[in-house]
Amino acid sequence: MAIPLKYNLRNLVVRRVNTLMTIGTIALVVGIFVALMSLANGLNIALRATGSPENLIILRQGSQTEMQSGVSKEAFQIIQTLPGIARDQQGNPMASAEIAVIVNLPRKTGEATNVTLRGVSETGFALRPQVKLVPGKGRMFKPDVGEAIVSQKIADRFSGAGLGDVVQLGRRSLTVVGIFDAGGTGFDSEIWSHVTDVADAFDRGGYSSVMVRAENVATRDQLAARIEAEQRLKLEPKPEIKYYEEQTSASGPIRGLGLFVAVIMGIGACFGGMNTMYAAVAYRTREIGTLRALGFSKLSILTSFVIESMILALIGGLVGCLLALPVNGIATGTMNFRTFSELAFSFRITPDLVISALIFSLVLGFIGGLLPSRLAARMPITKALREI
Amino acid sequence: MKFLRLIIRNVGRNKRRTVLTVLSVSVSVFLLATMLAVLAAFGGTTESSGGEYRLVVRRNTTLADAMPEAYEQKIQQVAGVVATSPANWFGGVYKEDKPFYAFAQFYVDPKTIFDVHPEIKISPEEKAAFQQERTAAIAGKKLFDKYGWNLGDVVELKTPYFDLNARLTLRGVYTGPQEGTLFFHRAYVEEAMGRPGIVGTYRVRLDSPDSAPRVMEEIDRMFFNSTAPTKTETEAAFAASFISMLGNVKGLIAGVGLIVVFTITLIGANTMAMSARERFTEVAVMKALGFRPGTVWALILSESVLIALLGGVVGVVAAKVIYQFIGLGDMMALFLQNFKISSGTIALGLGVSVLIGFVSGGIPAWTAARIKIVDGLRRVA
Repeated sequence: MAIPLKYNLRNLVVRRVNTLMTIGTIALVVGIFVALMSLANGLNIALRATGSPENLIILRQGSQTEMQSGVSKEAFQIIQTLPGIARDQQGNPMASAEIAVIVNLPRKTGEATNVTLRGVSETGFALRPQVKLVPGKGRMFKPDVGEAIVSQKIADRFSGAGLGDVVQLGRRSLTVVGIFDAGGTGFDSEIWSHVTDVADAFDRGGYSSVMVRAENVATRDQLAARIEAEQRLKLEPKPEIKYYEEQTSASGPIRGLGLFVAVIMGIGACFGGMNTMYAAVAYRTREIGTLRALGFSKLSILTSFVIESMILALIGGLVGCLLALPVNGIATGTMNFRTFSELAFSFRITPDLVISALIFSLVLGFIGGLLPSRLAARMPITKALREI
Repeated sequence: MKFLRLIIRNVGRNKRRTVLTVLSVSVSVFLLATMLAVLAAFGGTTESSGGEYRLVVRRNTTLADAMPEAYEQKIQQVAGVVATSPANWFGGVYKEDKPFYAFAQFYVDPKTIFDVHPEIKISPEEKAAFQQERTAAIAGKKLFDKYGWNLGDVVELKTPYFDLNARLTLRGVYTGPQEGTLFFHRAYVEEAMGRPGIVGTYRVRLDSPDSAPRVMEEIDRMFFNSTAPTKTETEAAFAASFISMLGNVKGLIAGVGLIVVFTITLIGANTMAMSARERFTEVAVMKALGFRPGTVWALILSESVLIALLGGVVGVVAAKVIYQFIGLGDMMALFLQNFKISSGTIALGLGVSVLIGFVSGGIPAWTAARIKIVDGLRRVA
């Protein structure tokens, strides 16, 4: 027969100082776990959201990123003639030759960091419908006159990159004429200009990459095979989704830090929790004796104390999630190790993360409560009752 | 001091509780020491390798852009410059594109690199062997140990940047403060690329750290109106600029460290509150015997500080030993070549644990010191 839960809850209230401090300890550990993981989460979410399923990014064979890649003008001509590429309303193939370069800009906090400058054509916007100008904040750039548009996140976080500012990029100065928003995707960390302006500023004769849209997701892989088979090109097509998925390895160090901190702090919190539970068992020696005398089995006592410890930890876990909640949505940025340039993203606390945090706290409670509960269960009745 | 025995007795009274508390404080202090050491490594303390004598010249745009080879002679003419050496980052992939196989690779001038980095220690024979052979490479002892390399082994580095697979023969092992780098010949890459004369950075050695500001300014002014303007920084600032690209890492780590401190304080306070409560009657008896509240307060506080300090000692010793033998994760090691548990970190870790002892013992000690004798004696323990 099980001991009622009410018994455990009341006991937690009786020892409220200990209870609160233990909850506090677990809350801090869980809170920091959630905060660090939400950072890694936000980075992955931004990258995963970036690719469109029908798009292929075409790079030079062996290149991992656009910055390392090179595609000649001739190759772009050939690609455009391939069958299987979606057409826009005017009947032109939806293929965009682009140049991606890294530029160094100062953050508002002072240090300079690398930002991706992308030279695109009009098709580049059609291929990425998530990129939209922010209404009321400027207009689209015109080609060949040294104009650029900047993402809201870059404009907010970098100095001298706001509307109307002139940014010196390569051999040219580009005027920021508009602010865009890319809906939390990787393009939110970029500056866009016309491909001819970027080619001129950085003295590029060719392109970095070509983005094409297949007629539909089903024919995407056929198109990719066709490009790969084209011996003249020596290019490697990759689904855009996969290209950005590969970059999520950038979140590895943050995830690693989060796990490292959580595991070590978790061990510390377990020891602290054990202390609390041992004290709880010691205070209630007589009660335990009485319960046993009333006929509750050893297993009931063990379960009861383990559950009490887990309730304590679960409350701590919930408080921890609440403590971490304010970080949700805070915008930040880090260097993407693949592209060596800034990737802006926001902390994201997802339901998955909350669930894993609560499981983590339950595990802490279980481990911390097991040994003290065993001690309680094994206590001889006569000795326990005699205890003052 | 005459109460020292009493304090120690009290610490040892509930052994299980003391051990658990010491353990939980020690793992937290271990984590804290790690964080502090990472912060210290970010601080660019390159002094151990003579970094204050060095400047790094690079393009004012990004590291991806390069400078002409002709700059070297001009830089050498600046007063205060003792030696210069070109060094380019070679982002090659060794075996697999995984953090475990990632390490720093530079293609350099095999002669002048040793003038600029005198802290690189290598036997004269191995140095000569490295300098004579165009496909030779040297690497730090740490790298040799990590990948089980032997002299004469061939290391293949694939790079997507310029369509080149570098096949290098290991001809030397160097020791020094930073053993995580592989150096090979600049001529090898230049020839393979077929577009000679591209330099990513110039390492500059100074006659004295005091000339740094003047030399930095003179170099940058010299190239200001050229097609490739430069940015000259101290080695520490150059290293720090990489860290700052990662975003507010310092803030993140400082935040984690702060929460760790809070957590230990709570754990300590919980223990001391439990101990103090159990001794309610005992404290009343002591006060009845004539112990002053101040003495009672000091006794309990000392106990708390002692426990926290014990935890701190275990924590920093563990950190020192563990990082000595195991080392950091591979990704971290690439960025934090200076990572080590210094005596400063140890002192700070211990200082923080003493402080935690004071804070966590403060309230329970104060409550105990203020109990009324009658209440304490009346309570049926």
